[in-house]
Amino acid sequence: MATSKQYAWYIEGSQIAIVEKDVSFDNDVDSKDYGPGASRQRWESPQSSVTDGLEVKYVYAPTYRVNDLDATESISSYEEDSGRLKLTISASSHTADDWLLITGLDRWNGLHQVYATTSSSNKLVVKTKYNGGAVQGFVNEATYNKDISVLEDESFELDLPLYLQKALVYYIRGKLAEDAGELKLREYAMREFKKMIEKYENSRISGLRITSSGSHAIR
Amino acid sequence: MKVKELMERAGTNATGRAVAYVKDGLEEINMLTETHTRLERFDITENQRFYTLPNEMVKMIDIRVKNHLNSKDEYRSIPRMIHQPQTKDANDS
Repeated sequence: MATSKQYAWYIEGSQIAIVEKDVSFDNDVDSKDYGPGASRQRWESPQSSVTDGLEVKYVYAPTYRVNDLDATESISSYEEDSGRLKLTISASSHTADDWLLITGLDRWNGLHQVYATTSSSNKLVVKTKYNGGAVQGFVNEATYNKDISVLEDESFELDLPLYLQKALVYYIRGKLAEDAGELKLREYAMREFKKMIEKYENSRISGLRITSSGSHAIR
Repeated sequence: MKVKELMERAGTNATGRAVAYVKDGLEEINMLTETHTRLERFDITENQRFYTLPNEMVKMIDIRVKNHLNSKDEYRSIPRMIHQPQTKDANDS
């Protein structure tokens, strides 16, 4: 049976720090000073390895659409190749400038573009900059999908609720007005953009919204 | 809606600039409301404190850890520390 632990997190630069509470109890029944207490209680780096132990839920911008969820290949390791990211994959062919969507590989999750055309090769270099050592032996399933549409031109179909697509029109109008120096128009468009997003948010919550003061508030 | 239709509605024919602003707009929308979320699991390594967040992340919603205040292999949200702990990590910068 797994043991209960206590964790906390904080942000350090672009990384997340995970700490675990290290507690040593001193309630030795053979001691004459027996009693509840702890001789040591401090936050330290994780005390043990846990497979799939950390779960991060995040929001990403839908600048791509996955066409076929099954068009995935596994990644077994990655390393540096002349300052670029090189993936070790099962032998397959890729064309330069094609897009890939990596998942299950913490920092590399997201879009990457193929650097050079390959034919039945188990090495794949992408345009992403990387300067570090070789990393292998992922316990997680690291995969990439090669059948995706990326927002590059006018033909891309936006993967966004209809109402927010209309809000996006106001955002574009606002940015174009800003470029043209028409600041009044910009302010108007951005106000409409934010208003539509608020209306979209409210449309997902039914019933009353009640705010109350906290339990320690002055009454 | 395709980007082409969006450009027509916004009254522009500059594709490159429109695509760049659509990307910005999608990020902005996801900062304000959450339309696309993803859940990723990473391994916790003994004595390793720092973990790199995904580059594609626009906003973090929740951090959960297995067996936090339970012994049933449940993932529970962990609190954020206001101050950094006294004990430093070997990789602490």
